[in-house]
Order: sequence, then C-alpha cells, then structure tokens
Amino acid sequence: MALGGGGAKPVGDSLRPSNRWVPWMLLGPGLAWLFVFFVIPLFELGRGSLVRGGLSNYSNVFSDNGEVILRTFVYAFIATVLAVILGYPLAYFIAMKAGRFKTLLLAAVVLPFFVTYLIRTLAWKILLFGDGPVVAFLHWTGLLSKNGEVLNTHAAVIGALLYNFLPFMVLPIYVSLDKIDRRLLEAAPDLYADGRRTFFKVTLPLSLPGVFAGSLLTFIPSCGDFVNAELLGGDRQRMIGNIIEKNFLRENFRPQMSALSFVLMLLILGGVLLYARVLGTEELA
Amino acid sequence: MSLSRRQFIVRAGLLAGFGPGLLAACGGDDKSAPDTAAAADGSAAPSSGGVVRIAAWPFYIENDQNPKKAATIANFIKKTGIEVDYQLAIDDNVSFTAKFEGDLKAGKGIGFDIAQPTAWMAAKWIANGWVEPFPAGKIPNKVNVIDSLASPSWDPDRSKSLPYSLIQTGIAYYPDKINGEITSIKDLFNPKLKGKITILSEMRDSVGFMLLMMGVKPADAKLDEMLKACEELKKLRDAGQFRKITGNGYIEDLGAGDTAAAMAWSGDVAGIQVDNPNLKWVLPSEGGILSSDTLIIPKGGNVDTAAAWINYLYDPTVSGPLFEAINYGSPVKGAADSMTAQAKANPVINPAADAALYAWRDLTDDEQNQVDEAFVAATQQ
Repeated sequence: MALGGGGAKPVGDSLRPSNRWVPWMLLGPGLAWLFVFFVIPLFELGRGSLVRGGLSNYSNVFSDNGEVILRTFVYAFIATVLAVILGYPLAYFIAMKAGRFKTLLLAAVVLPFFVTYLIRTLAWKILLFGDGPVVAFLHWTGLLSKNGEVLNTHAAVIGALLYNFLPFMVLPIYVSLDKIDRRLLEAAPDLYADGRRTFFKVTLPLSLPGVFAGSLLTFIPSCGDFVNAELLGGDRQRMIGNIIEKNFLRENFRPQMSALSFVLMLLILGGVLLYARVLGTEELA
Repeated sequence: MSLSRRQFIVRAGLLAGFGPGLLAACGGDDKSAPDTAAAADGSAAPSSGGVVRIAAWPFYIENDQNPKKAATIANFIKKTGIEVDYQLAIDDNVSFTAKFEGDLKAGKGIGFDIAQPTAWMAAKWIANGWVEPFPAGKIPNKVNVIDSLASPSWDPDRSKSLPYSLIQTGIAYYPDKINGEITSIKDLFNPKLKGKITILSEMRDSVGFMLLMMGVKPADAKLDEMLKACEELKKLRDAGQFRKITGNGYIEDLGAGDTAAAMAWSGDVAGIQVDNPNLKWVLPSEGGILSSDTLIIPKGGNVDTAAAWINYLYDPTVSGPLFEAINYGSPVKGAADSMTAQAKANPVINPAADAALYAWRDLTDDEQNQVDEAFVAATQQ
C-alpha cells in the first residue's frame, strides 16, 4: 500500500519511533468500520443463505425471480445510459462554458438533495397521479392516449431513478472535465483538429474516468433501489429490492432472500468488472 | 393484517396533505383531560400501583400523538392511580416479534406490560410461552368478550389473551370511477376492472378473499384449497387485474382517487371517507375477512397493572367511546350502547350481527410456511 512509504518522508522525523504505526492508525477506524459493518454482515448473509435448503436456495433464485432480476437490471441500465446522455452535456457546459456561473450551476445540480429522497419521490407521485397536472398536460398534447397514464409504468420508475441519481453522474464527470489541462485543448486546433475531433480525441477520453465513476454511482444504487418502484411503480414494476425488503425479516424467507441478496451483489460486481475491462479506466485515471 | 398500515396513514396524510381531515377523524372525542399527575397522586392504586407500559399500533387510542390527552387513558389514570406509558411500538407483527425474540426466549422482560399483536401472532407467542397468564380473578370484565371470540383454539378459556379490536377486510370503491356498484368479490375481480384495483399483501386477506369466492370458508379451508387460491390469484395477476398489491400503501392511492376499487381495512376506510365522501364501503356478498389484534402480557410484564388496564378496556362504557373514535370494531359486548346513534348504525364500526364475516382457522407452522411461500410466489415474484 502506498501509504506504507510515508515513513521515508522527512515530515515524520520527530515521530520516528511510532512512524510505522501512523498509517495503521489512520486506516484503523475505516478498517474496523468495514469489518464490523460489512465483512461480518456479509459473512452472516452468506451463512444465512445456506441455512435451509442449502445450495438449492441459489438455484431457485433465478427460477423464482428471473423476471424481476431481469427487470431490475434493465431499469438500472436504461437509467444509467440516460444519465450519461443527459448528464454529460450538463457537466460539460458547467465545466467549460459556465464561467462565473459555475458555482451557482453546481449548487443547482445538488439542490434537490436538500429535500430528502423519500419526499422527492412522493412529490413525483403526487404530480403523476391520474388527476394530476402532468397527465392532464400529456392528454392535452396528445402524447398520451386518452386512458393512458404515467404512474405504475416502466417510464415512471426509470424516470424517477434517473432523476434521483442524476447528480451522482454529473458531479464526477464535471470533476474530470474540470481538471483537464486546458493547454491540451489549445494544442488540438494548433494541430489542425476541428472542434469535433478535439472533443472526441482529447476531451472525451480524458473525461472517461468521470463517466466511469458516475456510471457506477448511478447503476449500483439503482439496482438496489426499492423506493421508486414501491411508490411510483405498480404490480408489474417490482424490482429485486422490493422483494427483499418485503420478505427479509420473515424468518422462513430469510435463506431465500439472503441468497437473492448475494446473487444481486455478484451480478452487480460482475457487471462492474466487465465494464471496467471494456472501458479500461485504469490507464486513464 | 396491518403491516404498519396505521402508521402509514400518518405519513401519507401528512405528506399528501390530507392530514387534517384524517387526524380530525381519529382525534375523535378528545375531551381535555384533567391534570393527570394530580389525579395519580390522589387515589391509591388498587394493585401494586406504578405504571402500565403499553406497546401499541398507531391510531389505536383517541390521540396517540399525545396519549396523556386521550380520554381513555386519562380516565384510567384517574380511576386506578396507575400511570400509563403508551408507546407506538408496533409497526408490524413480524418485525415487532423479531425485535424481542431473543429476550423472550431468554425469559427476560421486553419493557412492556401489554402488547397487541394480531391474533395469529398472539397465538404464536402463547404457544412459545412468551406471555404471562392473566392473574386469576383480576379481570372480571372478561365475561364481556363477544361470543365469537370467547374461545379460540389457541387460548380456549381466554386465560392469556383477549381481543383488543375487530378489523374487517372488505371492499372500498368509487361508484363514479367504475360506473356502477360493487357487491361481491367477483365484481372486484371482474376483468372490466383490469388494472384499476388493488389487493392486500397480507396473505390471510387476499387468499381469504379468493377462498370465499371459491365458496370455501377460511375457517374450514384445507391446505390444497389455500394453495389453489394462491394459483387463482396468480392467474388474475398475470392477466393484469391488479394495479398494485400492497400493505399500507393502498391508502394513499385510494385517498388520491388513483385506485377505483380496493380490498381495504375497515378503520382506514372511515378515515379516507372524511376527504372522499363518495368512497363507498361494502362487505362483499361472499363475505369479508375478520381479524383481531390481541391483548397479551409479554413475559416479565407487570401482570397487576396490565390486568387493571385490560379490565378497564372491557368495561362497555369505556370501549364504546374509544372505538367510536378510532373507527374499529369493539370486541366488548354492549360497547355499541355507549356510542352515538350515528356510530352505532355505522357498519364499519358495528357490522350487523349476521354480517358475513369470516375469521381464519389456526394454521400449523407447516401450513403457514407453505401458503406463505405460494402467496409470495403468486403475488410478488
């Protein structure tokens, strides 16, 4: 670990005898926290998933929940892609073009977080009710058929996931765009690159770590979310989180639910590793 | 029943803005109580005095945000000298039980002298030996329990439990939204209402409805009939009949008029009607489900103060006004005589004596697990 080399720095001279413990002391609280609140529960979860039925709890996960698992990942994937499509231009504008309004615009991105998650989602629900303004407007414009509705649709849940997690996409992209050395952008036209080529050859590759981080911060919580599907979705919009939330505390369901939680985690981990490989961010970071 | 549905009313009410009406509905007769502390000092307690600590569901006393002001509690303190520590500690049966399971198994107290789990869960507590028997002769009013609940198989002489409340599961609907009336479960499950109705995620309510529609009483249902009912529910669900399958959440959608018809709990409907006077309540012609929350004394609780509280609740003149205020049914004989004429005639609070209400029989652990699993598979996965 890089921190181990800290002892070589002259700053620590006066503390030499205890120097080698400094990194551990700094890391200690974090490691203890990780152990108590992550490793132990994870171990318990794994043990619990094998209690009754053993490995069959795992083989049943897909046959029992296949549709819900697929839906969960499709929702999270669409929400993440849309977040990139919406978030990237926004982050680009703030980082490159906003000038003195930068801080203000960044504050605006974070502003929704001053209202709690639950209330934001409930507010959506009130807006999207059948008698509400959104549906009335969509009927008026003809975008929605006469009996069509917004609540309890795939679009409502995906839209809410997108809305709730969009800032997690915008901020990392903004950071990686903001720290791009502007001289590179000046050098590009000197080398006869037009605006488009500058963007695709210089800006975009240099901002990919931000896209990568933003995608993870959007995709992972989306996969585990249950609030949006619970409040804005109907019977056909359930996600894995809803099923776990409803049944985990019921004793006779705990092994199955533990197995489902584990599978969810492994699928996310697998997806993320694949994504990291494809995007190859390690060289870029 | 009741996965924290009452608490949900509070949240939904406050957030969705129909709070004032609901709170008014549930505030009921909130006669301002006299200075309770002085009263407590005044009269010597007949039993060991002290305090009765109650773990309650939300919305089960006149003013549960400020229980000291609830008439039922204030009068109890005045009468007995026993203080009341009233806490909204029960959010749902399963998590409430899970929270204290370790202490109960170890034979330790859980910090409450009274709890009110639903009957099927109370049966489990009794079977596990997690309750204190009622002290002999300390609850003379228990003769007032209604006949239908006087002798359940899991506590035949009512020596360890008494019902607190009666809950009907029926149908609430808006006639204008469905262009007609609903009189039966069959109407509710009619494909014409596809995607417009909600049902409850409580197994005993939804499977019970399906059993009744199949002509089977939940009290006599065999395991294969229950599993068949789950299958039938699954077919309806796959056909898109259900807008949502929820616990407490149905209240919000129904209150906002987003649902046309819903399988619903009696006390909730009275609350929603305050702001939606055109919402109608019906007990379906095939019958509705009857359940009850049940008073027990958890292991280690103070049996004397608890018995005094239970005996007090079983005085019809106490029970009448209390249940009129909270819109649930009273399990105490003669309670209706202490209600206003209007409440007395309200079928949500006082269903007719011959109303088609059916309670479940007790399920064995194995039956419970099998039906639970089939129900979750049919309604969630």
